[in-house]
Amino acid sequence: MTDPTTVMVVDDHPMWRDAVSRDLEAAGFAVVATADGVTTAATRAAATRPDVVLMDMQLPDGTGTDATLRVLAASPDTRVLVLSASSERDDVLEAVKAGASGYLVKTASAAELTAAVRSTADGQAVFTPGLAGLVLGEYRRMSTAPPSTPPAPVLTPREAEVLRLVAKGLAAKQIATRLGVSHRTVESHVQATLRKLQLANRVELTRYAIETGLDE
Amino acid sequence: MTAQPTPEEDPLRPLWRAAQVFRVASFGYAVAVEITSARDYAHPYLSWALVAVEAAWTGVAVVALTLGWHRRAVVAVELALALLLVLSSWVVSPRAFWVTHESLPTTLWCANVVVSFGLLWGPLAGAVVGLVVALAVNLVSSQLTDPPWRDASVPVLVTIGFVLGVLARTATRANDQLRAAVEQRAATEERERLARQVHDGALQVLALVARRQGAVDAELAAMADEQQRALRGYLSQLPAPSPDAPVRAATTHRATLAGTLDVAAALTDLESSAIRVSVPPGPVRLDSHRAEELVAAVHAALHNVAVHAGPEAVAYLLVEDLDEEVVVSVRDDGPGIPQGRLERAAREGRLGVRQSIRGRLAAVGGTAELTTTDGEGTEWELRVPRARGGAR
Repeated sequence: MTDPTTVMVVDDHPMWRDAVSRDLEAAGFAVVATADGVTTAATRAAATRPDVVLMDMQLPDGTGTDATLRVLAASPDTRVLVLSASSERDDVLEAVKAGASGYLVKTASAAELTAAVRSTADGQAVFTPGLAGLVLGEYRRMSTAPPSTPPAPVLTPREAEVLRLVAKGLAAKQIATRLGVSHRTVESHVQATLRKLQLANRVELTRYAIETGLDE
Repeated sequence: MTAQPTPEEDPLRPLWRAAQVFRVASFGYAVAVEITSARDYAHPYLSWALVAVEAAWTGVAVVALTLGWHRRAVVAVELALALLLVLSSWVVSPRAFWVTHESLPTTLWCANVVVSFGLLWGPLAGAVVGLVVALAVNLVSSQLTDPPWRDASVPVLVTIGFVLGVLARTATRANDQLRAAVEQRAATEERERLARQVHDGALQVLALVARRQGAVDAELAAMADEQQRALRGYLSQLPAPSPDAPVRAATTHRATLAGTLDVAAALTDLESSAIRVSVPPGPVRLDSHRAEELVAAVHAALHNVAVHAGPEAVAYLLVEDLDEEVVVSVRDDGPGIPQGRLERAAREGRLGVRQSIRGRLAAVGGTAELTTTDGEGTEWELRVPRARGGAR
């Protein structure tokens, strides 16, 4: 038997934390910690090293993006799944660029939530159509922005095609059938789009840190 | 963020400041005239004393009018003072001199009060005071026997007063309009922000109730879930999709920048468990007319999904901003349209909704394409070119 997947729930609302924790426990996950803010999330992630962190976007002492950065710095193997309200899309994109592996709206059902935590723990990006639309738009925005050093990441035509189909709500299997490739190939294209975005963001942050002398 | 024009606290301040530059310059001119003419005066010391009064008043007026202290009182006192100084020509110089020369010791300086009246009370007051001062100048130089318009003072001073009055009115009005526009935009943004918060808050509570009550009271959980859907539907001005619910093809009026509409925001409002919306980060602006036609076409396509794709079908909206054009795809995961049904409907003249979608797009120079496969749902691709000049 393998150990159950460990999860930390970050949200400033106690009732929400309890309800989500109960759903997760019922589905066989081990909720090893909860946190109500950026600072507590970072210290508890360092102490408990959870497999998955469920992250709210609006915290009393910062944003979900801040918390994602600090959690991943404290516990690099942890995967962050953002759980947000539907109007926070642009913030979600920032969190994903900061390293979150996916996002789900808070109104998703308990079944959708547990399925998403399971795929996140398995190392898959939870790519809802909404997130695919944001990432697609972000690549397009970068391609029309003035050239920068280092050059902004670009999508291959195939990756763009896959993202468009995900954004249109097709499941990985349907996309695989349409494009005549394997299910795995579709998954890896999707992963690649996120990884390039996160890598570019890290390079950007590092350069910023060097320029402002924060690396000393 | 683009730089926003901000309304001035005192829109006339720049005009008042410029007027004080003229005041100081015109006083310099009056002093120069005094220096060259004082020896011809009957009472040179008195004339110098009057120039000193003029100097003192120039100082007071420059400070008070620039900073906006008691402008009305200062300008009223100045009118009396300017008239007295003009008329003092009779006292300081012999008759033979003042009938042929400029009024002393004011000369050009007397135009300042005309400027101030125009700025303070508008074109009519400016013109009237211009006329009064010009007549006083003419009176001093005994030209009233001639028609006053023979002398340049009357048209010049009346025009100064009138033009500055118009200028001040225009500046004030423009500033008021700017202020109103800025206030309205702030109010709209605040309303939208509150609506989003209420929306998110209420939806989360309902989702929470549905989640917690699921084990205890299935009926209450179902009600909360239903309310959550209803609220989403209500907020998006679109009834929760049901086969016979009429769709109100109204656009949500999120006019933001003058004449443009954020298509992404308007369509994000449609998000529900039956409608999933994907948009790029940031606003997707189109000029209002094109945006409204596009949003109305999306509503019509969603209506078709609700009617034809069955109660379980989910519609997926994807908004893409391609610089030259905006593309919205509306896909459903319903059974699709069986082969031959479209052709049959066309023969029977039952293509109403499809024609209306195509018509709306064609009217704004765009295209609408429908693809469907039996068993794989239907997909509309709606393309709208951006307005000439690119409203981004």
